[in-house]
Amino acid sequence: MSLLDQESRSAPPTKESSRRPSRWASRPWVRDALFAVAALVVAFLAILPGRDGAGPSISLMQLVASMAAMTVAAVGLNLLMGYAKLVSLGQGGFYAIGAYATAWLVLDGGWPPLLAIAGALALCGAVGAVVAVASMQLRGPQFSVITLVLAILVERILNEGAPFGRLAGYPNHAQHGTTALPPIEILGSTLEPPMIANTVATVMVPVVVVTALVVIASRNIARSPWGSSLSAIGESEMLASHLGVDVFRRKISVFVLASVFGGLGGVITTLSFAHLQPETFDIFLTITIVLAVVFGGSGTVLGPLVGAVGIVWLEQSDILAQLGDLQQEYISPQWYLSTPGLVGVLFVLTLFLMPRGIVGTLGGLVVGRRQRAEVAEDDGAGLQGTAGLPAEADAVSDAAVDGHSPAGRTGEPLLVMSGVGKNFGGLKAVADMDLTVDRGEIHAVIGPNGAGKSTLANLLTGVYRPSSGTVRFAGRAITALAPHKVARAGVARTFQTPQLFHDATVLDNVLAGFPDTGRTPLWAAALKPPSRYRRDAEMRAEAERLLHLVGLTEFAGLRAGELPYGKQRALEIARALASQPELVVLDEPAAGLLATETAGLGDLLISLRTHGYALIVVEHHMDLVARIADQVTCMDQGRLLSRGTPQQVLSDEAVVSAYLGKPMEEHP
Amino acid sequence: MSLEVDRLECGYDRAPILHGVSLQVGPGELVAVVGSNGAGKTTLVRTIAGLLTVRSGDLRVDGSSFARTSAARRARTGIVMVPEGRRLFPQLTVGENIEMGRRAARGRTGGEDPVTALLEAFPILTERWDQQANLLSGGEQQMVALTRAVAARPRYLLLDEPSLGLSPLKTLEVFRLIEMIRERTGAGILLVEQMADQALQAADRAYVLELGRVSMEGEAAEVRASDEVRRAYLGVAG
Amino acid sequence: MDALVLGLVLGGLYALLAQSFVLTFITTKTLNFAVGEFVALGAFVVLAVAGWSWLPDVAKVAVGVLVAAVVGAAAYRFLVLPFMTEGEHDVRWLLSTVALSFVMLNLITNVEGPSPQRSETARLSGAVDVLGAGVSKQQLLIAALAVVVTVLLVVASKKTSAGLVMRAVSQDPETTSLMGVSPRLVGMVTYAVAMGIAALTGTLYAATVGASPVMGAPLLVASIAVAVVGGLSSLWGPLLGGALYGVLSEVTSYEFGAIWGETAGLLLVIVVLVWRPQGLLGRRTEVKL
Repeated sequence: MSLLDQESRSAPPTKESSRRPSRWASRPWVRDALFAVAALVVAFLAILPGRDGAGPSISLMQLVASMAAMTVAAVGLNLLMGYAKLVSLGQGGFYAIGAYATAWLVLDGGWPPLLAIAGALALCGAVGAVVAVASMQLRGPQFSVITLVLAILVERILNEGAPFGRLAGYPNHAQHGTTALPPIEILGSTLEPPMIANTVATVMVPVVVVTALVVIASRNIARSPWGSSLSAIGESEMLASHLGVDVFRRKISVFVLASVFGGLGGVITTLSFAHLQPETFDIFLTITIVLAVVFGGSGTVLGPLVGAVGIVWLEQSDILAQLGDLQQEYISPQWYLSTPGLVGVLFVLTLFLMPRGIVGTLGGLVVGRRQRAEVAEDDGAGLQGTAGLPAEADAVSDAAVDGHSPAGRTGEPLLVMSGVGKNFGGLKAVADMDLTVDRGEIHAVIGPNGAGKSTLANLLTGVYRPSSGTVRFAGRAITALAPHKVARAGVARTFQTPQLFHDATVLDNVLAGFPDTGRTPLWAAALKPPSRYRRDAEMRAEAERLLHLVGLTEFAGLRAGELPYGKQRALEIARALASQPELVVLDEPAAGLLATETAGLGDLLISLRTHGYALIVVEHHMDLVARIADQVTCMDQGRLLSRGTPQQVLSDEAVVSAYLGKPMEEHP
Repeated sequence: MSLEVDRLECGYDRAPILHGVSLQVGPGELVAVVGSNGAGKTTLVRTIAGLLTVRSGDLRVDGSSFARTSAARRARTGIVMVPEGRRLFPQLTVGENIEMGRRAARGRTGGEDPVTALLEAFPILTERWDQQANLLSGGEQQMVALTRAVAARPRYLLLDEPSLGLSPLKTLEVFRLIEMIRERTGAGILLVEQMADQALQAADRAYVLELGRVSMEGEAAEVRASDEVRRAYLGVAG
Repeated sequence: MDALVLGLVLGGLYALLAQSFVLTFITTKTLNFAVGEFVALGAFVVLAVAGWSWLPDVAKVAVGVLVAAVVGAAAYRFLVLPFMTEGEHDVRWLLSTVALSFVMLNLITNVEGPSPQRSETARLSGAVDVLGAGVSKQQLLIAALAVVVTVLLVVASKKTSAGLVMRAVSQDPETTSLMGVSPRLVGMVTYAVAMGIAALTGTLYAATVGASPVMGAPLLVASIAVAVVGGLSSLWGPLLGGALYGVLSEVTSYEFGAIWGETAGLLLVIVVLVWRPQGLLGRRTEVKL
């Protein structure tokens, strides 16, 4: 499941279609298996013409090898740029490192081929990790700049560095006595590159199999909770961390993964061509990889494949050269564009005309029909679930309540903040605040603007590090923990303006709230073991239960951005609950709601209390506070002004004069 | 002589948000637009200010259409908006913020500087003149935002949720300031508000916006007294 | 010592070009990756008018600057502005300016040929002795110009109403439009000024190494590095970044060879970004919830 991946977008059960019989083809594992088989079949079909090694097929096999290398590199870049929205211009650098390191380790290092490949990929990963750590705090253009700097640096070293002679290529006669790497042997078989007529290009088999596997793995990753975490990072890093994602480590992981894929593209080049020309690893290469992703469709599973195949075909065919000739003939012998310029023009045209790329655009055209079809399909799977839902739902919610009841009680209240303060420069935003909240309690925090309410919420959830004081939650200290750790400890939150994935469905938004988003390991995401399928089904059932709880069942298949504002609030609460929190912090949940919607929100919050959740509600709507809160804390200028039951606080003289302006009164 | 919105339609991407909204604001008149979030209130003022494009329908001031002009040009002709969330330039000083407001009044100078009166009424503005805007409290920021708009010499002033995020006490102050601006500048004011009760008390006339359509219009007091509004926006049962 | 002086002078060259990145970044939050080609464009335009003997050298340079400014403004209007509409995550402009760089480089190469051509316009010959190091007058001129341009920009930004508008646009373009100022126009003017600076750099630089299509490429890398080290949001940044980068890379290449000079400079970028992501003099932008 990925939040932004169109192809994976699925519509949940609706009443009309839930009576359809189940179809085996709709089972997730069957679909995955079909995709894998299809990928391998396509891969083998691509190398079928080269099976006898006949002369004419050699150039075709070289073309396939180039496409495969570009595809692998583009798939890696897509994870980074399509999902996590980190536009790297350094992929060509990793491609070059992978290519040269393999050749160099084999030729000059005398390493066994497999070890050399592993070494080259490890080097890519290591360089990727260093660059990732260096650039983690950067976003947007600065990130792109730093990755571009890397690519340029690699290019310079390859062009001017000692063993890689510029015009001679690598290897070269002067230094190595040969211009071609010897074919490598793996497991007793020689992997011949597509170079010599009547020699079967055996290397093509592993090349296309690896490419297919990379595509399959990237599809699994994109649709896993791991992939969702990338989309969440792409949307907002702050939000991702509140969903329990260790943003720093996750960004490093995805960058390293993309680097290794980039390097793997280079390895494929080395194995297939047995000779490397430094000038082919220039800035043009790195940009071509970016173009492949954009052209094919960034953020889609098949986009990088389609883009890479298309771009390589275009660059190696005569079309661009002929276009150049045509211009020279008809426009001017001097004022014309040849291949690099035409690729630039193609790039701009893609951005103008097909911003979502080929796959994204086609996907957009068929998505409506596809969604309708999937409603029917998925419903089959949903049927058994729906039949057992009520009982199951009760069981789950009982379990949730159990989780909060006696076993969890240590005698200490759930949340204890004591003496917490926060200074910004000289400004004391919060000073010496105490706050205690127990399970099954709604604690409202009110006060004038700038009183420090939001700061308090941010101190609790780890956005800010307290300048003083301690925070204990469920018996352990969570003072100054990072937001993702606070989230994992069992504190979920909502925001003043709902932070949703607007283009993803309502259901997918809830699914992103599960702890899996932050906790699924990469290997499990890529390999998708059977346990993943079971867990996906569980999560889906639980998400549907939560949607039911907040009254959004019928909207499950809608894009979150299409929900009315009040329902977006409810959705955000459902997503917060998906993380199985004990405490939910709601920052002005009634802001922007109609009076009627506010009443509904009140009902929902009260029902959450009966389910055993503890709630902290930062609010301005006094009617709501008076109705739902067990305890009210009124803050003013960062300090406690008044505390007690709603009646006590709202009639407190100090509160009235500092905040309310007039006593609470009935509406006319 | 008025600001006229004539069968306005507009929206983001594919989804239309306003379906043929018509309304008028006369000089010196305070007109409130109330409605739920998502009804299109913010879209309405942003379209009038020129931040969103008109899909069909027309916008006129004193009879001449300005539906196709840029936001900057509209501001220079005196159609001035105070955006939701105040949107002061955070790293400019109070004085520089107000100076930016004056840029919209280039070519329309003369007479008394409208800012002077506000500075006299609110000495805090002069005190904070050289302070960076993001260091002000929410209430003070709203005061600066309104002063900045006055510096632009508005003929028509569009206010988008001026009470948003303010405490009840500060909200009252802001409404008093709006009242004062109307008296001093004689500008027609279009006030879009979530706080329906206060907006309707302050306004002369009012429109209720529901799902992108005007569902009710009339004297503010009448609108406020109607059953539908009392039930839906004022939270009165019954 | 020689390397130190030469590094400072070289840093001046990078700083001058880095100013064009900083300018566009401050007002529009975008960078023009085709700056290298604007450097070449300026040099070749000046080369084209070099034969107009009735025109003084200063005016010839002005022609090059003007042409680049017009092309720069058009580039912003048609290749940057349409690709920055979807918020701060939208970096399509980055791809479109890279594409522009390909097209311009390809076109200039096809028209002018790849090899360097000698440029005599605005050329100071000879060298002077600075603290024992021989520095060419032309390089010194460029470095001095970097300081002058920086001071002018800083004063303009603080003291003039255009500067106020520029700072306002950098903080909130939409609200600026509500103040009667068109952010699009401000962006075009900034791009014009920034590409004018690039062309100026190109003209003066061409007088030392000759005009060639790829002459901007090495400058591009170094000046991006300089701008990032100094801080993309600081007008003073390029001078500091230029001095550090120039000295470090020059001293390193003097000791270990040219390839390591550049490597050291780029490693400096990485170190600075880890330590201060906003650059040495940059302003940290607060993440707001």
